[in-house]
Amino acid sequence: MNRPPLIEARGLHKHFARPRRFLAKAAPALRAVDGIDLQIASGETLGLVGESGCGKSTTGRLLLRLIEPSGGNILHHGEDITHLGADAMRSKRRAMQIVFQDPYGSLNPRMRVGDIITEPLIIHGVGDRDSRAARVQQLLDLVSLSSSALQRYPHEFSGGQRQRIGIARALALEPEFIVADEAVSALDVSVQAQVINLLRTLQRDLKLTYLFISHNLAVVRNISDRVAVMYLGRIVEVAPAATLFARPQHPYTQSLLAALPADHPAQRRVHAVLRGDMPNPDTIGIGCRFASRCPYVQPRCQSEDPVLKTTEDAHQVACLRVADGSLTP
Amino acid sequence: MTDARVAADGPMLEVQQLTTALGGRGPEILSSVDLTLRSGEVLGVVGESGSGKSMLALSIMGLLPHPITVRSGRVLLQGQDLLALGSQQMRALRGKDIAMIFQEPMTSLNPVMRVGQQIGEVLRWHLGLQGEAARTEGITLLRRVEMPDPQRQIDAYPHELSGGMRQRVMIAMALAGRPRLLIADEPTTALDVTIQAQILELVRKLQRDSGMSVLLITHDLGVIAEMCDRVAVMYGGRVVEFGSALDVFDRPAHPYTRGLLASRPRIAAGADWLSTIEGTVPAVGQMGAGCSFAPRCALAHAACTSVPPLHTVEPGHQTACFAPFAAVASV
Repeated sequence: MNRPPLIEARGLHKHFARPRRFLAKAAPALRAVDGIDLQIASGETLGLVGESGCGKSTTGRLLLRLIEPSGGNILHHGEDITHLGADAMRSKRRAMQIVFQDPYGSLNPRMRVGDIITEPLIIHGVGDRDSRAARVQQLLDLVSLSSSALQRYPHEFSGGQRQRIGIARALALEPEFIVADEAVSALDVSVQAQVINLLRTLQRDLKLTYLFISHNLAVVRNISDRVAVMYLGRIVEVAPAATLFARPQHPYTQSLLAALPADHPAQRRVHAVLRGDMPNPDTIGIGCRFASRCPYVQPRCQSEDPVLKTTEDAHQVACLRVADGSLTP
Repeated sequence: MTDARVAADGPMLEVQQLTTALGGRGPEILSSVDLTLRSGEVLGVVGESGSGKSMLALSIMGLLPHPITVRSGRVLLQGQDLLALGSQQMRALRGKDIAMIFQEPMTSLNPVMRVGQQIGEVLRWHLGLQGEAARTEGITLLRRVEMPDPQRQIDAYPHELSGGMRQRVMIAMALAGRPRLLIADEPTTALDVTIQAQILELVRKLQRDSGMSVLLITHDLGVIAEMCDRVAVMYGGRVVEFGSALDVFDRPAHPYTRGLLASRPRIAAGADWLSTIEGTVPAVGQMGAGCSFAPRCALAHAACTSVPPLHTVEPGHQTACFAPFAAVASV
């Protein structure tokens, strides 16, 4: 890659301090994101998958500095934005937006839809009243909502329509990068399909780049060019979507795919490979954090921490046994 | 080991023309729902928001929230009409003969009671067990639902347990009364996919071991495919299709079922544009006369201004559509 990626994370960390009880010893911080490297190229969709507590939502917010990192760097077109001041960051944010999961919590219930979508334009001092109104109408068209929506309140709309409003708001400032944080997870299947198609269309027409965060593997497969898998704050595998799903190399990714319910009753195959629950993040010590549940664990996995290594073209895996070839897929 | 109380023949549950509505004169929420759950089978009820599937579960359990009431119809549990029972009789059945597990274990479990005490409540109320006997049975139940370290977890509070473990507690409570019928309303929707796999395997195993009948309500077609012998598809408060899981997935007859199956993103399908169903589900009270799906149906025609009754398209497979897809091509 000659040009720098659109967005890059280097050694990104986020640790949340835990509240201390009076006179008690401080609990170790929650290492929500524990050293990740990510590159997202202009125009691509990077899917970010993982189960509860893996740090994927935190990662999305870190990239936009909605949460401040504890360590590491975030680069935008090669420029380090990690420590930019509030004003400089605000103008950066025109280029980087977010669509949230909860269509019922992410829109101010006391604001009319027209005002919700206009708000970003006002905050950033874009245009005058007339040009803003025209822009808002244009945005409604982009997300296939009628102009009657302008005067109505969020509660008058369905979940899918509210997500469209959220998307229109995210597009208001003509961003190049959008973080979709579980943007379709709260929607019914048929509505999900409409919104996914919409996101696709917008990407093609407006040349958008997406970080698509989701726990739903089928949705991620459908929309992503590349996919990164997270577990307990780390990225364990990254690959082009087709490759990841056809030939997953990390044992966790394999377990994740094995756990998926069938498409058809004749193919019943749910096989709960993974026993037990996600370990308590407090217990992250040295060594591979998947070791406690890994079907292929060896003694050295408890003491040596694997790093992401490239195994084949554009396919990276963080596993000691994959790295030395002792785990043939 | 089959529970001897499970009848060998005769359906476990029959819902007959069940209609519920908002108050005396309000709009209908469930309209003339017909369903049969055979003894020992797993029947799935699939539908999206507004389909009425959760209302169906609550109607069967006699837990409809005011002001929703049953306007007409019967719900027969092995021939006994549950809707005709008084509240005391229903309370005796609930938690014993019919058990229910819900989507959100954190909100369904009492946060200030230890898990053992909550299971103990069921054992005391329905089986008359007390003290040490209740505790022992509680530990046995936790072991049956594959709770790790049951002797310790029996004294845990719900917030000390993970989502998967809380769901196991709910299942343990549901099994405590040795029910003939288990109603599971979105039991794995709030769980991570690897935990969902564990819980689905567990429910399947428990169902096989006890022979209890299961009514599984979900929006997730994958869960239906994994778990169900037969499936009912609901839309707008009605059953629009009903048949074996294999038949409904292979030869969906109703345009809505077809649309729903086609709109799923599937891993095998790669990165294709997704097929969609135009429009949105009408709100309660905004359903027009006639077929509730007609406004969104590409094949709607003049006859669709009347409500289509369920009729047979092939043996064991029914649909409520005047012009269903023929029983040929698969999706």
